[in-house]
Amino acid sequence: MSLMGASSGRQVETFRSALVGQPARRVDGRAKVTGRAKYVADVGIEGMLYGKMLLSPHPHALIKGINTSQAEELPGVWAVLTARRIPGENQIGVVLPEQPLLAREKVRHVGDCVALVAASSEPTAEKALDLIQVDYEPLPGVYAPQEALQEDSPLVHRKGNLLTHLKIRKGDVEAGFGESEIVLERIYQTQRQEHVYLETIGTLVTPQEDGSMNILASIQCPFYVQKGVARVLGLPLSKVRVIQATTGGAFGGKEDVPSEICAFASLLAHKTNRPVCMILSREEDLRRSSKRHPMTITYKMGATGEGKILCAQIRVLADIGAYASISPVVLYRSTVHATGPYEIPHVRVDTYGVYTNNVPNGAFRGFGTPQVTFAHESMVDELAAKLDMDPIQIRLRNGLKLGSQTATGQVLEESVGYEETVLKGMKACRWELKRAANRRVSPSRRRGIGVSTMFYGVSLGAKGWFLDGSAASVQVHQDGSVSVAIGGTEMGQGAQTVIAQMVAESLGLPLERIKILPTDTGMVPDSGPTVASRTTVFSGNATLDALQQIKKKLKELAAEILAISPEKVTFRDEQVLGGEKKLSFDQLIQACYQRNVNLAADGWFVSPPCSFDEQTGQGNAYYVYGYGTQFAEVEVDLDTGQVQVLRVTAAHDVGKAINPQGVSGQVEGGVVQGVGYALLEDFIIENGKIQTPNLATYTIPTSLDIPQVEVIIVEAVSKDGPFGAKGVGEQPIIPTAAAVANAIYHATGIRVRRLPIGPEILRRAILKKETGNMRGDHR
Amino acid sequence: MDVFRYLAPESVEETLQLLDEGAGGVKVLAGGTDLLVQMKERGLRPGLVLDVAGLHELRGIRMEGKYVWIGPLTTHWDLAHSALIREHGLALAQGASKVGSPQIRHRGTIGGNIANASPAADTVPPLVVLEAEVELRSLNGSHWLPVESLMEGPSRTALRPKELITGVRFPHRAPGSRSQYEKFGSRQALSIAVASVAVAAVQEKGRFARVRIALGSVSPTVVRATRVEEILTGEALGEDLIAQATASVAQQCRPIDDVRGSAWYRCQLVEALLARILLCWGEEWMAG
Ligand SMILES: Cc1cc2nc3c(=O)[nH]c(=O)nc-3n(C[C@H](O)[C@H](O)[C@H](O)COP(=O)(O)OP(=O)(O)OC[C@H]3O[C@@H](n4cnc5c(N)ncnc54)[C@H](O)[C@@H]3O)c2cc1C
Repeated sequence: MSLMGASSGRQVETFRSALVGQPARRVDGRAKVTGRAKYVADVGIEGMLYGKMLLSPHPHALIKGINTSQAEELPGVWAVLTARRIPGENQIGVVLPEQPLLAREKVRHVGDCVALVAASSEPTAEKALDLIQVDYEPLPGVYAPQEALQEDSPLVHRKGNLLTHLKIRKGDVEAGFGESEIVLERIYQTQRQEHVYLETIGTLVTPQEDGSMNILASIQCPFYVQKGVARVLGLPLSKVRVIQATTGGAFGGKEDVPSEICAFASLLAHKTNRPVCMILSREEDLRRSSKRHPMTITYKMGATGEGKILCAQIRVLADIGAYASISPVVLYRSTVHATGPYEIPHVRVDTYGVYTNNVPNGAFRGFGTPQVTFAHESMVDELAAKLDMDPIQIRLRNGLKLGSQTATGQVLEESVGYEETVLKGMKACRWELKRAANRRVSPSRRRGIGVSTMFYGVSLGAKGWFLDGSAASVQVHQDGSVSVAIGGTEMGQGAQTVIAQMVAESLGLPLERIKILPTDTGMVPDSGPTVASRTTVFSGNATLDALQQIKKKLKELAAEILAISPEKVTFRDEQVLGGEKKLSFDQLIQACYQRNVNLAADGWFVSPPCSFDEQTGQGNAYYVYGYGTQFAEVEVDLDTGQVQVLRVTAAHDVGKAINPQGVSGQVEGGVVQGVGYALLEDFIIENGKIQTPNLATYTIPTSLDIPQVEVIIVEAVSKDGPFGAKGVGEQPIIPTAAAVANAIYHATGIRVRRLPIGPEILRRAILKKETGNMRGDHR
Repeated sequence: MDVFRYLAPESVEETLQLLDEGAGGVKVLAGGTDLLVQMKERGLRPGLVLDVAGLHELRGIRMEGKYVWIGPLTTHWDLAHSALIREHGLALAQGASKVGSPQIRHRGTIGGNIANASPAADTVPPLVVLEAEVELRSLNGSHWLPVESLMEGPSRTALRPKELITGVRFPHRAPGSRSQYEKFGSRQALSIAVASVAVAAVQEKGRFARVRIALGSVSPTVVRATRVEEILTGEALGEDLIAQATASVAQQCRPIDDVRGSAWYRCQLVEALLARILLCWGEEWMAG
């Protein structure tokens, strides 16, 4: 890993990098690698029951009747619940109230739940499921968005199959195409992707004496769960407390669906007044959890003969699945990022989100951006090839810089590291050498290198601004140790470590003195969801806000003791310094406690303003953006069509890297998931039925399939981030697929416009090209 | 998974006795990497599970007369790392080394792989080309049967419910003979073969004296490519011969379409894998 210093964008205050900016050991690492960390399944309480779901076998059907009496009579069964027995509202939709928690009149996909069982053991619960009789009347379904938009198509919901249409109108595309010397139009297609977090969704719900619920769960967004459960049980929010258990990965997949699972378990706990544990099997999780939206993207781009892009007309058709969930927000992101990190004068984007009887799609690392990035980065590469330009040159010519205007008309006033990621990455991977190298390694093997770039709005942007506040609560204990409660969650991305680093840095303490508490809705105000690469910035700023208040008191007392002015007081190496004089941090804390100085404070941070005009798609869509460039080197076996990604060089502008080690980990992980998206992963649903129901058929890369990854950190600091940070969680997965596709093109001359680029598809294309070339030249 | 009875017999005799008494409702448990999946996920409900893992006499690799003998409980890991196997049946070591992941290779056994009779089983094509046999034993006695004749269909074998596999053997490597196994899976580990090819051949004076080819995952069972064997026998390896052989191998396949690959693609793959083996041999033969 190489570390590059801050350079582009505005320079924030220079600070002493005692801990922030240095590779830190994960604060949660030891417990995880030694197996001491307790996940929900490790918890278990005396007398708890096991909850199970009865899922629909049909993608679309009316429910004519449900008979639960036999199941209820089975010994060991404590409760059987259907939609009729819900104390609150039978509703779990996050954005729109169109998703019943339990299906009552009809089922809309094969993951819809019609009944719940609580029993004293898991096998008993499973047996009880078999005894529930549901009378279904299958309905014709609709499984592709193209069909769903046709007039006589079956309706998933009464209001029609078009959920949302988002637009950008900038300049005059017709005029732009008129001025263009070259116009290309292409269709790109992407698939459904499953998160495959290590730990499936699970929860343990314990009813309390006063009827309130304590929920321990493997989740990403405790405040969503709190609201969802309160709504279904008809409880005030104050009576639902959600504590995040150690969580084994999420990637967006634990954003919305866990609210449903926790609500199921809570209903059963409420009914039986017993603790209920519900942990999904991998097969249940695959069937029930959300996926990355498959999209069909029709891209038309016009440019001058010198490769200056003049206009882009983009139509995005996305399969929502059976329920909206958070799709409107996902598609907002697809829309804003549809043109990629380029300054284009004339832009027209139309994004359509369409209901089908497929498993609902939702949040997944990148949140609607990887799909459009596959399209724009393939398109720009195709344009470069037509113009006989170097793919880097066309990107540099059109890429965003300070002062550029995005497709939404936002003028970028700070922190644009785009060009730096391109240039540094290009140098590190030895682009020119590799581009010119002999691509033929053997009669049947070819090598190639490709590039892809991206930008990504940090946090929720205009569409989620109302959720974009975050809290933290900090307490300095009598012994000088510090505990911090934040509203963001740790799901493996390293959030706790960066927050601990910021506290340590700010108070001049070693990392060991800082304890980040499990995220608990009972301890921190609603901080919105842990998504959108926002935790470092949002929980970080809230923590710094709380620290500011505590430090003010510490400085005042220190100033008094040292007889200097408070502004002169600094904190370093467990010492409190004031000019020549000093005292130890512990002495100062002792003094505070003796004088009853309150060393606890709550912090709060709200997103800088954002805007988006629904009619024109113009506005400051996100308050700041991250940028990245990846270079993929591949080897293609022409006989089988199999692609091995040998190496990826990934340069990412993340603002200040609080923990460079953590940033590298995120980039490596994102690249690996991106390679899976490019080549392997495809969650196939045919006529509403899942064809890849387990991990033997839904395959992700193993450690033998992943490339060497070189990470380059670019730090174009952001004035609104803590220490200048922007966030990195999602960015690294975004450009990988197109970099791989572009490398395959370089290696073979074959352009694949559809993901994943599986060996069979590529072999077919190779054969077609060979026969086109009269027996080919590769042997 | 339902409740079932579990016994761990202490001898082969006792195992055979229990198999005999239990009629059809008994299942032998070796590494459990197939059986437990079938019980947990495919509704297999044996009344009695016989754990034979403790029968040490059924484990090990050794020379026995003109054969290499392998105990059915020998793990894929041990097969892949055995000098004896590498020397006499390289294809088998290669097949075993491509099974699942290190965890699966440490648990899964050759006996289980054979008895499970998947057309994608990675040790079966090598065993077929190495002319391996299995020893089937019951209270009534024992007999050796070629692995090739054991396979009757996907998950169907000539193994009777009362029989136990008590040995696997194949002849020593003859002078001038060699074998090789190639597997294609969607990824580098933990993948079920989309297609596989094993070849064993004896070379005399630069020509194929004898050759056996077996194909995996392209038919209901592992199958021999006899037509291709005929094309190669008596001939010297060269580009034309390789082209002729690969062009006719697909005719010997009856593959299916599934999520792992279409029938068409599986045929493409056996051609590619066969070509890979023959090209590699061809280069070496020509070199010396
Ligand atoms: C994750 C995973 C990946 C896998 N990958 C591969 C792969 O890449 N390639 C591959 O070929 N296989 C693979 N397998 C399948 C499996 O591991 C192998 O088939 C293995 O060899 C089975 O051996 P076992 O000892 O575990 O068999 P078990 O599960 O114990 O038994 C399998 C069957 O054989 C019977 N049996 C076992 N021993 C005897 C005996 N001595 N006499 C009579 N009957 C017997 C059992 O009754 C049962 O019906 C995989 C399995 C898993 C779970």
